[in-house]
Amino acid sequence: MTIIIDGRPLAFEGRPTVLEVAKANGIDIPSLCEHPALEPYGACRLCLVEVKGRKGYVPACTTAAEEGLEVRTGSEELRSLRRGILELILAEHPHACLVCDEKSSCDDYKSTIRKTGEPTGCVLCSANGRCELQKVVEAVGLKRIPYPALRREGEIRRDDPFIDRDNSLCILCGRCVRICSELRGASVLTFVARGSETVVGTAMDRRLVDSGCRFCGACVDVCPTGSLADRSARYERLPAAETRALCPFCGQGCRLKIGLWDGRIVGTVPDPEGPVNRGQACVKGRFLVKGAVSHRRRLSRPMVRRNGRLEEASWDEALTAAAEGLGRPGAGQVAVTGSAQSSCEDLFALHRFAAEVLKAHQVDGPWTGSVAAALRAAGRRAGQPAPLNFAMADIGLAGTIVNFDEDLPATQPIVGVEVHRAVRGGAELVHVNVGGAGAAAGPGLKVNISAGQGRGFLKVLAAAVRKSAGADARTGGPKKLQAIGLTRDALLRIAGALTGKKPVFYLAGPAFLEAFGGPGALTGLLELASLTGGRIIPLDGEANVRGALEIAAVFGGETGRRRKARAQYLAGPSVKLEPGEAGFVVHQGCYEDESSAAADVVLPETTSFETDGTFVNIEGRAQLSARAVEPHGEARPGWLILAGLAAKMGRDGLLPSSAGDVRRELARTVSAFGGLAEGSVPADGLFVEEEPAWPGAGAGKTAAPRAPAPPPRDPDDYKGLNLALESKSLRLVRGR
Amino acid sequence: MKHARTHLLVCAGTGCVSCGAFALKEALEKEIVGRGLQDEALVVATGCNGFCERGPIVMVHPEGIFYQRLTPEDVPFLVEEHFLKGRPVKKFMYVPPAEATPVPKMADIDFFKHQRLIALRNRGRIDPERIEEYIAYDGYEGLAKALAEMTPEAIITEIADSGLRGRGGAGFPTGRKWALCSQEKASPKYIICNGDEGDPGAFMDRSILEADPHAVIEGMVIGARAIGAGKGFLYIRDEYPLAVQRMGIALGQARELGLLGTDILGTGFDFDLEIVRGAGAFVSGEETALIASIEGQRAYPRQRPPYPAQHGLWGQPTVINNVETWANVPSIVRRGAAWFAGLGTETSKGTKVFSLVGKINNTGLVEVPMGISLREIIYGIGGGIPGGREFKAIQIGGPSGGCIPRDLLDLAVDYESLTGAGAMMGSGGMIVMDEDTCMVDIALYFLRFTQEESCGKCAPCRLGTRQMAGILARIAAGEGTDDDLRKLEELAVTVKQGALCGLGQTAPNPVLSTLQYFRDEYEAHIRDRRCPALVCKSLITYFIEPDKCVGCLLCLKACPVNAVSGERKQVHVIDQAACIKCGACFNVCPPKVRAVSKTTGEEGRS
Repeated sequence: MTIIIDGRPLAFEGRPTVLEVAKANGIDIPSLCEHPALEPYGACRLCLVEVKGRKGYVPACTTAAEEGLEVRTGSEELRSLRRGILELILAEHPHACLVCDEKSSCDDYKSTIRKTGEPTGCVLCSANGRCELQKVVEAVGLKRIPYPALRREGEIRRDDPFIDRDNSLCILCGRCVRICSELRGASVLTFVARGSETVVGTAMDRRLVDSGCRFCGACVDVCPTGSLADRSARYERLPAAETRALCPFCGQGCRLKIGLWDGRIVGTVPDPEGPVNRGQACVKGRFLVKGAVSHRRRLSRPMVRRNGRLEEASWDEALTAAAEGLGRPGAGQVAVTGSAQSSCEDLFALHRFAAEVLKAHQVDGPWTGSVAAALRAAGRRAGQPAPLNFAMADIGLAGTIVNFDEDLPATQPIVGVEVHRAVRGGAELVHVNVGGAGAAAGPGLKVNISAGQGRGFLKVLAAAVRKSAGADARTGGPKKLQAIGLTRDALLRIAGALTGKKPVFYLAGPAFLEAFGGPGALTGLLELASLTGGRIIPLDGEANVRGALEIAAVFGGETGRRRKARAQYLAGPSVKLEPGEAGFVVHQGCYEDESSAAADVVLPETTSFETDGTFVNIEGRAQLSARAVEPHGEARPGWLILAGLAAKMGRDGLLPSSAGDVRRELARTVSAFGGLAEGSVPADGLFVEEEPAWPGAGAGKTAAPRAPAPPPRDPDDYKGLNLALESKSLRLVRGR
Repeated sequence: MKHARTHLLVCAGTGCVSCGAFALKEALEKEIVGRGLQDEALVVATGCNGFCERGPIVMVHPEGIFYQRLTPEDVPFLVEEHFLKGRPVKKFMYVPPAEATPVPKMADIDFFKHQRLIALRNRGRIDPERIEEYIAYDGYEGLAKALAEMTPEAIITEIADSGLRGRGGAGFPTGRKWALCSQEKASPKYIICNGDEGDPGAFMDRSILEADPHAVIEGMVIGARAIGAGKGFLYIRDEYPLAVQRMGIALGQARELGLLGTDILGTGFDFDLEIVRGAGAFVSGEETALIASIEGQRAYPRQRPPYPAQHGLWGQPTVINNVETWANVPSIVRRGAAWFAGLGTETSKGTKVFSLVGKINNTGLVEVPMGISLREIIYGIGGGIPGGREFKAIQIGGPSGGCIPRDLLDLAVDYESLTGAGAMMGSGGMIVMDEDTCMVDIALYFLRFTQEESCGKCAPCRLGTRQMAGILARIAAGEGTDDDLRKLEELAVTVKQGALCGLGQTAPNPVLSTLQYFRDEYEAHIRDRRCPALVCKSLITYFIEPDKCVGCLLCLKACPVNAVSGERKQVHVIDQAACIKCGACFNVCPPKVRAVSKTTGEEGRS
């Protein structure tokens, strides 16, 4: 189809707006309230254009492109109208700097002085340089504002964690209010009062943190001015360079844009092109990366215990000491523990080191208790491999979603965004809570099951679904239902939802395992899923659970058997060690923590921002996180540490000498990573291969393991650093 | 239904109620029982008669005798004289201004004589809380005809042929709106009645809802049938409690009789209505904002197209019409499009209800055929300007309208000519202004209103009205410059062309029309620092003329800020620095003395 803008015939597909077609073709129409992630709004009126055959002027952002539409964007009347509107907007925004003839000299002579209390001009504003008003003023060409300057009422609100709000800079484009409700489903920000007294605020003018805000930062990212500001950015320069990396703080694999200045991280924002997160992040990725990378508890030099005290040492000394200590106990006597937050490269190196050098039977790690592992095991027991891969965006297209009490904004915020998208699209949401205080606030059907009745609930629900399909099934008597905590009516309503709109997704995370009594409950859920033609989405909380699982599957160590050991090699996790029991301890990690305090040798490791590494997210998507900054102090990537240690222990050349080569080696060894044989990872990542159905599957059914659910993991934990305990702000957000 | 020899129709519109209509009704009932007339005379509370100036009103049926400004104390005499002795009481009858003889019959009173009732046809003659009375006056006959004899297409054609246009302001042809919606494939569809009447001084919709709720219901059921809607909403502002209450009663009665709900009149057609109470934002009268409000959102308008007919309530095709529009529908269906189209002008058919307020003798609600001249409304029906003052301008169309000056008194009232004169039909508010009205002050009043009632969504309206009000306030304070007039005009264009919804697009009209017709007044404020109408406080001076003052101390005692000094029998003096120009001294100075004068401009500053 073709539209004509300023005489140029422009082809388009689908149903874009006139503004989108213009932008895609390099035609600049100023706009302030429009945002690609949001629905058309038409409030700032700067993108007004003329459309042949329509009365007056229409906003390009709300006008759908149609075949043959003739649009003019720049007549003199239109330009003067735009100027008039922008003048009005600027009359209520500090504008002295915006229309100053000398503004270019400020860039040369004035360094940042953004610590000022109240921004009264661009040079005092934290948004200077990225403010969209500056660009629009330039494009429209304003020289003066013919009105008296009016200050919008209200104090600057600095009483919230992370975010400052300054209404005097607000132009009421409504982007923050819209992203908060349309995309994030939080509806914390709203318009207050009306007419010229309208401001953006919260209900009853409470703090954000008291209004249900989860501080995802989406409002800050869409704010075109400095009205909503990342507080910590006030004291930072604008990034001089930008690079992209994965957020390592949970299992979703959000891609972040890392702002750099002088080789240092000055800020992180979600990458609009991130294949998983598409411009969204959460409080951790948005606000806490900088602090985590340069944390005061980072380990910067190797340490060796001498005379009972840990002392700094050179890498050579430390590796020698570690090699000695680990070589002493003999084959199979060293317990090796890994972390599901380490990259595939590091985990691969750890497994190979453990198997070939230490001759350890297995590498222990949290992946054994993961939902993905439990789901895979349940599939094997059922004789039908349960698929683990899914596409995040598919959740947004769901017809029905069952959430087993996962607090999505805290643990899986992007899944939360997709769930909200689905609900807005008319999906049915069922929220199942077991034995707790009750389901979370928000839309949807809510059920509260009595404690310990999770499996019973799945059983009667499956029966109810069968019955609704006409099969002869018993759903249990009223007594049984009462014990479970259900009414028959509620049961039928849930069963009705599950057999209603397709596709059906079951969101099962650590909360499911905990509430439903361990991994075995996945069997019941899998049965329900297959009855309703639904999918189970494993919501594991760590950055590389799936990758760790695939690697462990090849090397052994999926099962979680424990043996008595005489020495410990801890690669990543923080473990509280009993004195005298542990023997010789080597700790490879990023932060000083309980493990490092008990260790005999401490080997400082890079964070994921300081080295190249591959991570497989909950979708099963392997993505490469590229190095953004130089390693902290003398920290080294995990695989490199292990390569050095292997060399010290007489296995020089056990591991390749670059991350890319380790990856190629991994692809050769672990078939799930077969797609990475070239060593490179596509920008949008690559799904790991699913476990194939094996011959004779299900022939000899094995009993479900009686293993209890693993202790609940703190979702704010990153390699021994608890973000919530470290950051007072996050503590406030988490309400602890 | 109970019948009697004579019916006493007590007006129970909000205006009369506030003057004590219910107390009057009670007194009448008591007196009639006391006199043993309960089988002879029946007291009925009706909807608003429109002649609110003269409330409380009682009409005696069937003679048509019109009593006005009655109090409970008048009742014993009235009942004895009229209903016992058969002698209508002249002293309670209406006497036209500047005349001495009372006019006994309602039909002969000028205020009623020139009106033509369609939307208000049942006002003052039925009890709005009794569906039987509505039915007795051909009520629901249009619905029966529409459901039993007409196809949906035929209904739409009938409405289109009648030439009915939206009575809420913009005047979009109703038939075309319905046709657009009926062509939409999506389902379900909705019907909405816009009863969020918010223009200052306008109360036609309230009156219709209070006086004849079934007419609106009937119109909506017919509309629902035409477009295929199963559910409708009546959005009524919560400032109209009586309207909400009566509509609630009417809905219940209609459901009981099978005129609403499932299987209406046994035709298999299902439709039901729900009342939504508006929370009091002027902008909710804008159709897209009203829809957002029903959805539970903040009442923010959104850009059209898509129009509600395609994408309305919850994204579904929706027909939204004003109360008065709906009230016209039953009569059109019952009597035919040709009958309706026979009234009015070429482009504006039928009648229009106006609320006639301000400096006019007969304040009230009037329904007149389209095309009537302003002069006929103001002088014929309205009885002219009180106090012997001169007519100066009439503000038509509420805050979105404009001020029409004396030269245009013979302007025919229809959509096009009003818009052409810089005003608009709007919902039908008419505010008459005499020579004591300052046009700058009026423009400022309306701009402050729109500034406060702007929803705040789009920049031109939110910010432009604020700047315009600021400039007008400056001019009214005598601090304006010639440049301000240019700026006002520029701003008016920016707001008009840039604003998102009708509220903003029309908000500059009061300024533009007063600038067009009364520019000299603006210039007097700016150049001479004078307010010719002696209204703008900053530009007027109160002055005690020494040769007239008798030293009575009245003004001295009345002054709230002790700005007047003087002794008994001595000339008083106003301390101009302390004076707050409240006018108390001017008002208390006895008419035969008239020592306090109000002046403006340099002459008063000495």
